[in-house]
Amino acid sequence: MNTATNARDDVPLVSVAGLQVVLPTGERSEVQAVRRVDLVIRDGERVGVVGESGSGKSVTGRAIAGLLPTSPRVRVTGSIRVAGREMIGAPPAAWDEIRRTRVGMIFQDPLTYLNPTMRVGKQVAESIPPGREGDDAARTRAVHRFLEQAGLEHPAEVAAKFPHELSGGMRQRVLIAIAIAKLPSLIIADEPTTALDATVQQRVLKTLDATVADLGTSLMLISHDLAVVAGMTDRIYVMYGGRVVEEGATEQVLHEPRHAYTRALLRSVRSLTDDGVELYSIPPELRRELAEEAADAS
Amino acid sequence: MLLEARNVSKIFRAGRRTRAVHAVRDATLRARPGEFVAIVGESGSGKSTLARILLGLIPPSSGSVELDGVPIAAMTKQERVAYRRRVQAVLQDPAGSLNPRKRVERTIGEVIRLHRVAATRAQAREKIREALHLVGMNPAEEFLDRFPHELSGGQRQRVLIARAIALNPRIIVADEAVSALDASVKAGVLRVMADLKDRLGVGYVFITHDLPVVRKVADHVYVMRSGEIVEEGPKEAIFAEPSHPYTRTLLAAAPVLR
Repeated sequence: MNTATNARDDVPLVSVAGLQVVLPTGERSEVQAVRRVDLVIRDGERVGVVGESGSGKSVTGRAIAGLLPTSPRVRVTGSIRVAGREMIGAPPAAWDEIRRTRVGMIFQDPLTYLNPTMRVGKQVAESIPPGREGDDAARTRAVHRFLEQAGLEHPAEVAAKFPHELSGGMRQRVLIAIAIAKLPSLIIADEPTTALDATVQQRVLKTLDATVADLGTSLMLISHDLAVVAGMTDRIYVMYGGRVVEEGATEQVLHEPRHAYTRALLRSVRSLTDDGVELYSIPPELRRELAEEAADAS
Repeated sequence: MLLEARNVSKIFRAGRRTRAVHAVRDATLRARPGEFVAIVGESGSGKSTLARILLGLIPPSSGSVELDGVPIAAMTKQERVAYRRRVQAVLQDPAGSLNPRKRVERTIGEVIRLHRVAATRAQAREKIREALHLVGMNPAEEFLDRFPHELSGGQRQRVLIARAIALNPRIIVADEAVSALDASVKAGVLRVMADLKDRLGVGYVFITHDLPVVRKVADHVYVMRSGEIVEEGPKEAIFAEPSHPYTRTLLAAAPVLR
């Protein structure tokens, strides 16, 4: 076990280097979902990962949380360091500890993540490490506090409900409560509001924003929606075809994009909302160039 | 041609003891070929129920859907078949609307045969090619033999549009047809739809929660909330001076990249 924690302050919370992930797609076929990705998340930093479906953004997020399927056909190579500790090849117990205490995850679809037969209060309580809050009464108070922090009013009432008794926006907030109950150093949110209506999305994002700010937690926000990521993050990674094609301060990437794909993506996104601009989709020639670029790089 | 929903209501009853759900209340709406009509609202607003009623997939509890003044309920069997051809559906989930075991050619060919749009096999094949060409899937030969899983999400959605336009419909009812797509693919599909409107005079009833898209492509907008149409008007008026507070809330919530 190589845990170099001497210079703790200099060690980023998460440091990914040369990450490659190969996933099986059928009996004999596989896809290289992530190609040599380097990514750093520092303490308290908010990092966005944007890309279209198939860009490798979710697989990268799952790799950092140790949530990729454990199959011999899933091959993860490179380096993922969490608080200085190398996690690739680490035993399952080490990953369990990371997920229990350091990394909270929020997914797009809360219904598949929440246990339908368990009241939500209990599900939040399960995410609090044993012994941290003291006796049962203190634990219940903590559950209510986390639900409230996640933007749910009347936490005692919400805690007594089953997931199906809550609206989509409320369920997503329960996921936020479960994630923050661990007091994690990092929250990885993968399309946390994509399935929600715009008005609900706006409220959930505000809640996530305030909660992360209150706790000083780092945030990794993964989304195909540039507008969502732009308003929530300090720095952005743009992914395409499993690679990071551009990285930089959010403002800079949005207004002075360097990579051809980022420029095309921004043009496309803006063409959907701006007046007097023709609808723009990324031309096939550019996609071919990007594929060649990826082949050259690997 | 005029497609009209007149004072349409729909009440769903789950069981004897549960409360009835008023999914649509007294909705009146008009759509014409060559016009892009949008119905916007959030989940539970009743917009998808209204779409299914417009398509004749479920009957309204009261009110009627009429094509040039003839209510669906009063149509003969032949008239209904013609209705199904002239008013086509494109629904949200292309993976769920396409049979995974059928290749693109068969998917489109079957509806052509069913509605007897082509007289001979050669004509049918020509029709399939033309439809794929219209949605920008060129060359058609590259896509004819593919199964749905061999297509991208945007391509699947375009196959659904191709299948709809192969029947020369006058109006397409599209329920969240682009909502699940990435920005670039969404822009591509919308361009195809706008192009068909300009070239073939196809009209749309475009149901969505995506306001920026409506602002970009619609001519006329209906805003739905809790089963009711709370506001309607030409797009310019709705976006410039929304009169209903709910419309203002929706407009303020839409995330836009600056």
